[in-house]
Amino acid sequence: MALWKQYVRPGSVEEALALLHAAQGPTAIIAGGTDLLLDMQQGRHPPVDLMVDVSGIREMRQVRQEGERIELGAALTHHEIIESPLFRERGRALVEACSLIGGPQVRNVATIGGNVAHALPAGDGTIALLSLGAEAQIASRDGRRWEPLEALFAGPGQTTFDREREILVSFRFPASGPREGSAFRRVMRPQGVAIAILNMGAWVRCGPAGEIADVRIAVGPAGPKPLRARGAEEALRGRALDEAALEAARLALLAEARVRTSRHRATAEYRQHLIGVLLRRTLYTAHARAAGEKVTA
Amino acid sequence: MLKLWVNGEAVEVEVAPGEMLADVLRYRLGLTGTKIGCNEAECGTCTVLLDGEPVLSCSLPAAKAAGRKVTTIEGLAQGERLHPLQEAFVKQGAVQCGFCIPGQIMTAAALLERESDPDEEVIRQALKDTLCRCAGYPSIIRAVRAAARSLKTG
Amino acid sequence: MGHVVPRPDAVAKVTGAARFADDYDFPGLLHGRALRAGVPHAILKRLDVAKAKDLPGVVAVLTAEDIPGERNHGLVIHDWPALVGVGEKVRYVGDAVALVAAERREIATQALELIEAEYEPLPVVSDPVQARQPDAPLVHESGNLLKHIKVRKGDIEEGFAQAEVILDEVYHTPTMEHAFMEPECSIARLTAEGRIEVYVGSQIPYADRDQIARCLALPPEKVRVIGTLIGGGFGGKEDIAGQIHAALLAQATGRPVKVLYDRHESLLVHPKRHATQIRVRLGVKRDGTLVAAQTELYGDSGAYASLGEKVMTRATTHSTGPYIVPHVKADCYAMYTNNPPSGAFRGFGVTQSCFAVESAMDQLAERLGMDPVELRRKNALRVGSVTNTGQLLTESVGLLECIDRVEAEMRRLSGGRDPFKPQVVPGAPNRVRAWGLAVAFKNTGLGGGAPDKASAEVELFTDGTAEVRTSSAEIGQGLVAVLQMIAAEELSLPLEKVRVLLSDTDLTPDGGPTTASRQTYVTGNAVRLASDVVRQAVATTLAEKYDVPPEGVRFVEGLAQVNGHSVPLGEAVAMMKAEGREPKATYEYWAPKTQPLGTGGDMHFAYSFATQAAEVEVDLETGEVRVLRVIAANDVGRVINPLGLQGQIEGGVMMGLGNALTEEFIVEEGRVITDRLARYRMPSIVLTPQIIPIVVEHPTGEGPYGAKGIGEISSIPTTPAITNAVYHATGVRVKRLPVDQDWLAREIARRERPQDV
Ligand SMILES: Cc1cc2nc3c(=O)[nH]c(=O)nc-3n(C[C@H](O)[C@H](O)[C@H](O)COP(=O)(O)OP(=O)(O)OC[C@H]3O[C@@H](n4cnc5c(N)ncnc54)[C@H](O)[C@@H]3O)c2cc1C
Ligand code: FES
Ligand code: FES
Repeated sequence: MALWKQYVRPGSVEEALALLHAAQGPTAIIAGGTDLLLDMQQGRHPPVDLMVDVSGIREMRQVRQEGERIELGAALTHHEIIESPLFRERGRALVEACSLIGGPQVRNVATIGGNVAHALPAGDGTIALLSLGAEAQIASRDGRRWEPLEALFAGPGQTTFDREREILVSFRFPASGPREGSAFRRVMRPQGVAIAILNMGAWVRCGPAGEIADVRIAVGPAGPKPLRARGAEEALRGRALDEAALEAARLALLAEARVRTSRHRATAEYRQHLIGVLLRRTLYTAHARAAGEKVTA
Repeated sequence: MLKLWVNGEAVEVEVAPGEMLADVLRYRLGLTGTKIGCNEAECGTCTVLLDGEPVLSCSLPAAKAAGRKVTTIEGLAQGERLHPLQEAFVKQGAVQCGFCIPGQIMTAAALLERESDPDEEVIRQALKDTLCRCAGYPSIIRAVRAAARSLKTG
Repeated sequence: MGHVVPRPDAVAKVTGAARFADDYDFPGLLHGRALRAGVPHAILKRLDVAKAKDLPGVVAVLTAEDIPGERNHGLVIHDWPALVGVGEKVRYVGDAVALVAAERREIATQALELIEAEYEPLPVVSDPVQARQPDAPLVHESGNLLKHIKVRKGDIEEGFAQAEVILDEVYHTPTMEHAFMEPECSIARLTAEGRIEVYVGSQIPYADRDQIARCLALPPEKVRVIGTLIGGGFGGKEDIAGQIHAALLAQATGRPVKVLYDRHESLLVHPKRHATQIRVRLGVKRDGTLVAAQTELYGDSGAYASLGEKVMTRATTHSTGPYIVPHVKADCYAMYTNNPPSGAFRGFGVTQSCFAVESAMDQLAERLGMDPVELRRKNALRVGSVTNTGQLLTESVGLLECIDRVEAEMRRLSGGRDPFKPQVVPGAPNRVRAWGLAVAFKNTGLGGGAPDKASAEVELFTDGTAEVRTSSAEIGQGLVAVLQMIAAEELSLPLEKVRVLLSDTDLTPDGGPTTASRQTYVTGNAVRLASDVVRQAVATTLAEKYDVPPEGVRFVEGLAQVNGHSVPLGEAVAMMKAEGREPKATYEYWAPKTQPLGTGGDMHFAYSFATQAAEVEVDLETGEVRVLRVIAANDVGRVINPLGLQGQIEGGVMMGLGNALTEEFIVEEGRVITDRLARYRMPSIVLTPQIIPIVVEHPTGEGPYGAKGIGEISSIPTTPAITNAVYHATGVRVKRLPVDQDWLAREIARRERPQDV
């Protein structure tokens, strides 16, 4: 059976919402389709009557800087994000995450919105956005609303918003300023699917003495939803980034992360071990950037 | 009816629901130079250019190409004259069974459009998801570099 | 000969003009698909195809009863049913139970879903060791043992009694997938004369023809197999895939039918590389002289024989390495299981046993406190040695030179430091580097007493061109170029005047299977000798005309020179024709006779040898392994086509790297876990190390210009070279492939960090 009966490419969010609501049978929103189509072809998502392609909606493809806040459309591709000097300077973790997704062919069509809406606990773009303190704008027939990114996830692959009736329009996050920096790291496995064994995003603001004045850490997969590691953040806030602080953060993170063994991919023991490794690497890089050092890899 | 540009020509073609760009190119337009190695967005053999950027045609709904420019391996040579990449792939011995080659060349062509002198690492990153099981990867890297040089000198 | 010449088939492959099977179209083409059992071991109880037949657009639905001829096919043993019938046994998930032909592929797919099949499950045999247990369920009525293969030399008890140090280890290698980029595709159609034509990218067109004919109850002459280009084979396109199914559907519908596998089906169905368990026991003197070697191999042959016996025979005969060992005992159990069948795969069993013995040799060197290169050099086969199957090597053993040259290069690149000691990467204390080395040998040709012959036809035309014809297959290895070069050389023609036509059972004589790295040698010789016959015929014609002895005719660059005249070859051909002489010849070349295993005679007419050294970098915290550089020396006898050789070396090393680090075809209780390309990861360009090739030429007398095989040897020692390097970097010994970074990181964490020395 064909994966869809009708394919539409609306020009605005409102038009898209109207189409979704008018539809009788099952519908799906498609952006790049790099997750959705595979899910459909492999039977994890049923075929639909109406496919609503949001990838061409102008509003969803814009980048805006308002004061110290950056807003980016959900239909921006990973490629567009990597190429943008604005993100490179002021949202480095996101650029690092998006540049690791797929190859250029995938990055040319896959979107940041799709990465978030797919709701995997370890989506690379999602974890980076989470560490940048992002919020998401959702459009429904009743209007628009902003929600903290964390609030969008209900479980693995599950969202709190209705993906057949509501559209993820954009994200916004505070632009990293002076004495602030971010980084994203992940560990993959050379065998099997392209999902991180563990990934991590971190954002750090340095205090006057180089101490961690403020910090955000996100990690996946560390539970059914992308995890914002508030315990680890708390353990670090106000402290110098030294071995003791790192160890305190590691223990806090181990306590809040629910890591599991995934068959044929990783043991829980390895993931626990990697939590310490990635925490050190990601934090040091973010911190160095906050302190004004240039760190590329 | 889907209207698009393929290799510089305006094309109108009937498309059934659920069809991907690769199906349209191969089975409706007879452009069989574009190969399908996996149909699951993993191998890169089906790479074509959409408005100059490489995409996986096996997993791109044909409708997404409406009104846009598609370039396939058949559209790369200028008449009888091979594109420098095509020439370099032949000369450097990068062509073995040949099945992945259209995808390699199209991906590399997009790279050379944006970077005139990519170093080895840049080439590797550009071709990272375009698999070759005959795995003449070193030859492929040499070929892309040689083509870049020849494009520069003209 | 030996000059860099681009492949004649390359231009069509870069322009998109090259046609693979799925690129063919015929008016009225139907799309065929097979319903796969999806259960590993069961009796098919009921099969109802009525709903599928009623689906609009479906033209035919076939079941086992509709097969007019023999039900089973197989390259050696006919044990593989084209379709499993009601009441019969399903032996692996990929067994076909029904066929559908429909107007469109989606319809065929939909029809498959409408077929009702009921199975009575049977207990599953999931690995070869279990298969040999006395109480194991039976996969075939004849028992689970496909073959017990034995190698005996000297007196093993006596050997171990002499040994001063004994090493005893067990290694495991996983099932592997060819993952050729082109999934299998066959198109069958009836011709006006009532014959059946099958277009397919096949490694053995004549075997396809015979197997199709048997199932369709036709004489072989009624079937024509037309080889299309092949998008990679590596051994995985030797068995029947969709050829018989397409032919059955074409016969039933009277219309052309295409059977194209999607990647999922390809992964489930075609034979793989054997998973093995290999025990290696080595006995040495304190000075490193090997005195005894005993191995025990279990090979997972899966549900059907395919080439399992031959593959595991090669694994066994090569299981004690390319070493002089006076006392040898090797036993191999090639077992049937309910896993996908295993068959030919580049390396043909030697890949697995080389990993085992070369790991063991490194461990042994450490036990002896000896340099691992020195230990290998001391025991390496050389001219005058006797192999463990009793073959006296009289020529063309370039192993020592391979070892010497790789070692020299490795030591040069290590800048005077011990290459086998870990080096911390400056500025990255968590990363260490080290080298590892391994050696290998691999037979050229079928060997073991199998008649190994190839026929080739060479014809000259009045336009001064020549055509070479043989059914051998171009699977990416560059055969077209090699045959073109050989004919051009023999006929003194410019390369572009020689065309090569391959793989057509009507138009090309039988070149034998494209396997065992035999094409350059066996088919190459056939072309060389056929060319020679034609050239002599031309010479005879001209000699008569100009009244000189035939030796007085010389051939230079497309001209025949005789008595001061220069006659263009085309004109000479015209003269021949005018006299009623045929300007063509067919030559059936028989490779030197070989002896069956156990007779102590020459099992193979030639062996290729290789040594590789790999430098790896290991992240001690994450367990990630990267291969930085590989030095690869191959004794190929004589280089005919340097570009083709380069491709074979690069591709071989990458495949060995995948074998070491990335590839594992996972089957659990007969069910395939890696059933998508996304789950079976082959190396991409980012994993490509710097590859430093070293060519060693120890010609073999009978080979064309001295050449022997290269297709397989280039990939065999890579894997143990890498895992040996991992050991030198981390102190962790890999005994199970592929290297699992999760396990490696945990093992490293358990040890002390190696210090920079
Ligand atoms: C070869 C390959 C490699 C990959 N590698 C990685 C990787 O390394 N890391 C990684 O994180 N991911 C990876 N992915 C997954 C994928 O590319 C990303 O998750 C991508 O960002 C998804 O975006 P998309 O636009 O293609 O989403 P789609 O497939 O279009 O949509 C995904 C889901 O989100 C919904 N959706 C999409 N947009 C919206 C919207 N605006 N509003 C509401 N719902 C919406 C869809 O209905 C669907 O349920 C890979 C995929 C492939 C094929
Ligand atoms: S065929 Fe499209 S990525 Fe493999
Ligand atoms: S040339 Fe064979 S897959 Fe690339």
